[in-house]
Amino acid sequence: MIENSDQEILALIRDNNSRRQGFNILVQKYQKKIYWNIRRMVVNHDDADDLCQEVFIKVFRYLENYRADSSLYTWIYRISINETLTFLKQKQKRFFFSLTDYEHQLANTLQADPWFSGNEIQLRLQKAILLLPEKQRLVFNMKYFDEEMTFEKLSEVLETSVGALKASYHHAVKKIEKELTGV
Amino acid sequence: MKTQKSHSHKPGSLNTDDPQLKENPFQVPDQYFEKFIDTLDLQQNKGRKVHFLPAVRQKVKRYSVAAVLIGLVSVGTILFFMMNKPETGQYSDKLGRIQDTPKRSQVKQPVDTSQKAGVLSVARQTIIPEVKTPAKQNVTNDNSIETLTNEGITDDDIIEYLIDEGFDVIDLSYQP
Repeated sequence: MIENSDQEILALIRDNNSRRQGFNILVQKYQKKIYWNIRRMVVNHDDADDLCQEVFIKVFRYLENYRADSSLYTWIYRISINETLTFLKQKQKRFFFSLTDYEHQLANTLQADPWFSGNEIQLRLQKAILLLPEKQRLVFNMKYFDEEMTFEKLSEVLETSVGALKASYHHAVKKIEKELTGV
Repeated sequence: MKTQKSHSHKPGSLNTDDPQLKENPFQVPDQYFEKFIDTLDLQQNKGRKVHFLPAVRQKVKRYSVAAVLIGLVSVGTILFFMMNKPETGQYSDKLGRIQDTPKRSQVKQPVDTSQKAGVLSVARQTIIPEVKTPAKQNVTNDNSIETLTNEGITDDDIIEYLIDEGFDVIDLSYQP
């Protein structure tokens, strides 16, 4: 299957007759990347599904405002990150009076999650990732699990300098190593 | 082709090139991505199922809860002090000051009416100038002063006042 370029997709969407068709192509092109990016942050499938729907609804609604300052993928990615971070903040607020925080609770329930099939080492890695601060977790997940993601692309998406991102990633790796080895 | 890193992996550290670690441990329901496009309700702008209260409603809710709590605490405090009103100090003097023991005037005593006439003449001379003095400072109408000084002061009030002030009723009524 030949993948449409962003320009072709945008041209289809801007034409009222092919708007829905263009949007369907856009969803098919980016849904997996967006979904997995969200899923690694929120862990739970239902939450990831809800957020993914929210992201594409926003994309559909605000696509006319897209000015092509950045690539379409970067723009969608940014929406998904904003939605995810807002969601996590809301969850953390609900856990304000709880004895455990949201990330610890997620780490503890990961093993019982029917949609988690990782082995022992993968479980330990995911638990260690969940204990990272939000920004470091985001950088680590995007860089570590996405082969195509470079620091330069990441810098564009997160609007942060490459140096700061490299430092964040480095700190994240060190913390995960410490968590895995228990040193 | 991906080149392998030259440095060796330290035991116990995170091997970032370990393909097993990079494997995705999460799963999705069957046909999830294929059906995803159909679940998008673009016309109704229906978003995620988990809805959070809009900011305004959330604020109203928060302030209402705070107001109810403050109200409950206030009522509780008032009730607490009312229930624990001390037994002593239930007697008060003319100025409203709390006294531990009743004054002679607050213990109901039969007043000898025969003493009244002698007492009243002295009392009127004592009280009325006292009342008139501050009244004159504030009230310019002479008729209203008269009303003020004469209204509401009964003979019993005068007797009580004198007793409070330490006059001996028996001595005052003595007629040689």
